Amino acid sequence: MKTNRRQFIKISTLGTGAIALGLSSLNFNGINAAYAAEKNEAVSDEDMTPYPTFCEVCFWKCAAWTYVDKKGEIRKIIGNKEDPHCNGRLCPRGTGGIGMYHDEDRLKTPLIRETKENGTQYYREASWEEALDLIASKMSKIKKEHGPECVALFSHGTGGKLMGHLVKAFGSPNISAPSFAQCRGPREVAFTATYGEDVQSPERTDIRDTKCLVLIGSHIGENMHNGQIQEMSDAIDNGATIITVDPRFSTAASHSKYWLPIKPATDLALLLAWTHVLIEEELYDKEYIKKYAFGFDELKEHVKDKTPEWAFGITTIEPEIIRRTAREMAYASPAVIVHPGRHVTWYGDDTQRSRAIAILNALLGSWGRRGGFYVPEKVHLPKYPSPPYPKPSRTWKDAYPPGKYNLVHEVLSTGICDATIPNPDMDYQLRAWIVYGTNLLASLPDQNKTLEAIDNLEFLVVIDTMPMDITAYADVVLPECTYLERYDFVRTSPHREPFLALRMPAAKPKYDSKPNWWIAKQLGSRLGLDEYFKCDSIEEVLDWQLKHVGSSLEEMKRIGVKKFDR
Amino acid sequence: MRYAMAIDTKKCVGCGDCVVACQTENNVPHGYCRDWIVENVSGSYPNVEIELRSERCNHCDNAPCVRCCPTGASHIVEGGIVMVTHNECIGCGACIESCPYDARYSHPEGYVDKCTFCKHRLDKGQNPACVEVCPTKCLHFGDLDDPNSDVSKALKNRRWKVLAPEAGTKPQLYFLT
Repeated sequence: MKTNRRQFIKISTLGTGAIALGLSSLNFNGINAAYAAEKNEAVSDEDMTPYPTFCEVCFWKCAAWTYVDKKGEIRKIIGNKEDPHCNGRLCPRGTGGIGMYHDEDRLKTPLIRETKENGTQYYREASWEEALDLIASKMSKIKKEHGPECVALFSHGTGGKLMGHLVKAFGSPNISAPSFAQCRGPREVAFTATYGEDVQSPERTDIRDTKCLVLIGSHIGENMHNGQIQEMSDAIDNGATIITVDPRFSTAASHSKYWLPIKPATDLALLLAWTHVLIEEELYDKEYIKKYAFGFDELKEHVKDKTPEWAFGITTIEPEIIRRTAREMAYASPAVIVHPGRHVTWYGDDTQRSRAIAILNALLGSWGRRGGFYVPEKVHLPKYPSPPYPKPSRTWKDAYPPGKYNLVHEVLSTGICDATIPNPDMDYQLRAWIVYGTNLLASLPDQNKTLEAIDNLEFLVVIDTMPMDITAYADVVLPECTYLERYDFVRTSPHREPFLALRMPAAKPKYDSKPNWWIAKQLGSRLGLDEYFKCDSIEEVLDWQLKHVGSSLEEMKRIGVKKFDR
Repeated sequence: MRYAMAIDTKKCVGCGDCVVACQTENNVPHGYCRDWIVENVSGSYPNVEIELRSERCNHCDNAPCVRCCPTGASHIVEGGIVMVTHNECIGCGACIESCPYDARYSHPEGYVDKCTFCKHRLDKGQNPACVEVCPTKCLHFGDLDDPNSDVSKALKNRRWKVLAPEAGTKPQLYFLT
């Protein structure tokens, strides 16, 4: 792995450009760095001030309280009992989230790539002023020479929305999350094709009330999708049947009634055989199918010869086990979930496999039923008034022949990456990337291609809290403060009932790090986009939004989480 | 009063949340822990079993660590909780050697440290931090003398075992099987 133009620059704890020191690895997660600051033991909750937040370690976004001691040090994070995402219990990552704040390896100051006389490249510490000026001048140059849509944003996490606002105002529609195609994208496309709606996040699975939970390559318990683990534990208490399909004996498998150690990459055959058994033995929900479905006869015809015996030769699962598990599902119907999974990008047949899962759930009548898939609710916050975004003349799809990515309803990261490498068959080429909160070298497939794309970039900005592979290739690195030190947009994710959750800073940003709101506004102002950032602070925006739904920033600061009527 | 904990091995997923919550609650120095996860795999393919256990000090009724402590730093308080008075401990490590559960560690400041069942929280009527955080609710805590406590109810309805019963320590961690 090598690049010619951009050298890989390690960012060390003590400064810039040097080799990462061994010492820093001893404190890599920094959970107990508070210890170094103060050598006492447990601090009682009454001696601390709790600030509301929601977790940013994963997409589940559990609401929590950040406890700060009298010296202003963040001591622990405890789940918010009112929040249905976590019910007061964070997962180990959320509990350990203070490690993000205390980590000694954090990005501490803006960095600009420089080249020495002998050709070696290094990072120079820079002021925010200088770093932002440089980014704005490069973006303006690319806008002038190639068009604004030649700047792309890769983002992940809550703060990405703010950067997205900036990039849309700048005039580029090329805003992408690698997590879509690499994670739940095929699932959402498949469920939309089957039901007209996607599964969403958190998943609308009613595991709490289910009588039968089928996991196919989904390792609830190892994946720590908090609410689902809690509900699976409740389901075990309620005597629900768990069927786990996994070549590996996973934690979930160890808690299951049935473990089907399937031959890898043959899941689709098992799903078709289950479908065959449900139809052949007339175990499917006939009324439900008659009322809501079309295309049943074609399905019946398609799976006619997909017998358990046929599947046995492919999957190595005994025909008798295939029949028995299919019957277990049917007995539990409609309180049964064939879990759609989350990270579903495996073998290339992913969308079709997810469709088979969606169809199987339809046969079991579980979509929209108690113990199956609930109908999610959410609070719709109005968008803060801002001029309409300029209409882009081209989107990323225009770089490809018409019809190439027909089903994709989000911007494909690999599509952006490929369109950055010069290709005579493509209409246009992307010139600059802003990478926010995602380590592209680990989150895009084909690392060599990503490196080739990076080599062809005119400019690469990385905004993050920690150094990682992608920061080593940046032209400018901006240190964002962690989720514990900033406001973000209010969490509106769907659940059984509509909820809002607030994130507010529990401490001042450490080092010379800055909140994403400030970064976006500063860049906006340098790019002549002041009208898109009229407020002086994000608090104004949040308060305005919250007041429109009968709450306020003041109230949310006090309660953290608010439930609304359905 | 007799504090005890029951750990449901049929529900634990071994996530380690109990360990992290204990570390942040009790300010355990980096690289050390007062509780930990044991993953016991038995059988052979395809008949395999995994037993997951969240383990910590067993707060034994017949605690060898207390008997062997030369200064009396290790002692038992009300409710049967085995405690260490840090400023009376000389860090000799006899208790560490005597514990069949390997539940104690040498704190970098020179004394021996271990699980306290979060006594500072119990005193205020709260559960230990590990119990309070567990996403699967597989940790049951309470007073064995109270038949309505969470731990009493869990033990009444399930089969359970203790670790190293042959050591004769009368441990107070019960593993629901």
